[in-house]
Amino acid sequence: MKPPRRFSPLARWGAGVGLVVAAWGVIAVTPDDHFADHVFVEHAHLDTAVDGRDIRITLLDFEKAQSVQDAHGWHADGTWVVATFEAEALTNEKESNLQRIELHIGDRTYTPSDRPDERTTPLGHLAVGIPATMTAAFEIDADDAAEHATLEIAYDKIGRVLDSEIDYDADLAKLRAVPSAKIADRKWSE
Amino acid sequence: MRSGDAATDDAAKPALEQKRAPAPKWVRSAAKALPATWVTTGALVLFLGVTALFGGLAAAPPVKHHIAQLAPGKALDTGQLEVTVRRAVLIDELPGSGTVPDDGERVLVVTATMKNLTDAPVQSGVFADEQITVDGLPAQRVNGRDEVASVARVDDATLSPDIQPGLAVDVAFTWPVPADLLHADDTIDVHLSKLTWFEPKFLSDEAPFWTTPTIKAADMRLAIDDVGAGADQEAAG
Amino acid sequence: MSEPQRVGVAERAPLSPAGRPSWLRRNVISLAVLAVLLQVAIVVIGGNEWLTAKRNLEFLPIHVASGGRVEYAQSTFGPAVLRAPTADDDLDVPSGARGVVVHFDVVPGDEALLCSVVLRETGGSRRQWDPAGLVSPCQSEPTGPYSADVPFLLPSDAKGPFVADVSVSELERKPRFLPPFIRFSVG
Repeated sequence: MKPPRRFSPLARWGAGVGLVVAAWGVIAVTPDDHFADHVFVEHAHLDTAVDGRDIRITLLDFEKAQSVQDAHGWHADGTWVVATFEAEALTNEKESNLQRIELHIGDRTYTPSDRPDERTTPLGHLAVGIPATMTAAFEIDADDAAEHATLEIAYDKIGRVLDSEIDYDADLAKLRAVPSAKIADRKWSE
Repeated sequence: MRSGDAATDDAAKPALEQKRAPAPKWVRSAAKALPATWVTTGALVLFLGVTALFGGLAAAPPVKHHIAQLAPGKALDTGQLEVTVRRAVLIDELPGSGTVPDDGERVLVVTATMKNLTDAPVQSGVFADEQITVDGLPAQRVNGRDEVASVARVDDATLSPDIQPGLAVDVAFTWPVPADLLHADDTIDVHLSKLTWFEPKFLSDEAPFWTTPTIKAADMRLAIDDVGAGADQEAAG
Repeated sequence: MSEPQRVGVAERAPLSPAGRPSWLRRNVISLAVLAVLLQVAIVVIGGNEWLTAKRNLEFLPIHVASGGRVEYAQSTFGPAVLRAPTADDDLDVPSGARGVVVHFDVVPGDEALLCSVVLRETGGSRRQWDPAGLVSPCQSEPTGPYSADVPFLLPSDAKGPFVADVSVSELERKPRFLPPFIRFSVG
């Protein structure tokens, strides 16, 4: 039998420490469980088209209002934030279902109003190459009327897997509330 | 060699024996014969046995949730919503409420204000049947369909409205009831339940949410106001 | 090699190679078995993969040239053309867009069929469009040969060439895992 190879204590300790450091390195570079929820954010500005994955959004109007009315005789008072935008898909119609339009103010998430029914909803399928104009009306707590708000638009509400998100930041305190804002029916853009 | 083995015991003993009186013979031979693991296992079994004897191994009794007895107009905090039930009304029909009565049916209406205490919108239609129940309603309608509650906004008849965070909405819960079941000045027992805040632990990247099972939260007795055909009521919608 | 084991043991102590069978001779049986097993493994694993790949390869388009026909699901499909919409199509075309209709003939067999059509451009970004509105191009209870008209709304910059992908489902058959589809060149 050959005699066992000898390593100096220094070499042994060094190898041990080296392995611990390597393990720490592996943990450091491994993405956490929420990695797949990360979104690629594109920032929108009024009247400028911004592209994400398979989506193009042009924000036309973003206003605060004391009441809103639709094209069918419905109206409601309250504290409202109304965003009008054009949206189209870019390559694939099968998966271009806009499902997430949210207004984030502080810790709160608001969704577009479902009043009085679904006919004015801004959610739904987008056409490739043919923009549609829709309006998202958010009814918010009066306490939030002078806060910083972020409008977020993305396809998937639940999956969000490493996908695009279009953001628009606004300081609601700087917006003067109009007496009444119109919520037009969804239609093809002019 | 482990510390319980006889060999090491013998080796350790001489030093100790100088410091204290020798133990009785039977103790010494017992200590030599019994391995330490047997002693600890035996002690554990004895301990558990005594615990069981005292009922310590029985299942913990279910947490008793406090069920409030509410008067109409008093608010209930469910953690998710602040619910204030107002009145109960019996009416022939209520267009826009989501409940369409068949022949021989009328509409039972319970109005309430719901305020969203959370940071995200609440879809009022999703768990309506679990969160508010009325005693004495048949499980099935005359035509065989299930008896389900509908919920609509009182101001614009939006069905199953979303309640945005921080906002309070006046809603009407409605059920179709056989026309001869309830009459003016009858009372109904209404039960309010709250949803459970569920935090998924298995897939840690899932967001927590409110869901069933429901926990009973409040009971209330309402007197019914029979408004007949409701001619002097503004039809919703 | 009557007793290879003992030969090995006896020869381990002396290190000189003289008088000791070579490594190859000592292990010739193991090597022979290995050679056979290796072949078997290659055939079994490779064969299994090939069968799976063959099954998956079914999800490939059946190309049909312009004006051509194809037999599928006991029916004949084609020819398919792209035409402009007429008043009968009742297509509401937004400004800046154009409407087109994919028209194809079907000679049905006995099968109840369900079809869906996707229009794709072959160049550029290879965009694809779904039909405008809910359409059921194929008849589930056909009474004879018929033709299908599927309208699409396209942006004005979509100039082609296009292909129309027709996915055919046979309603009364067990659904295939990855069924093939018909790709008509419609220009």
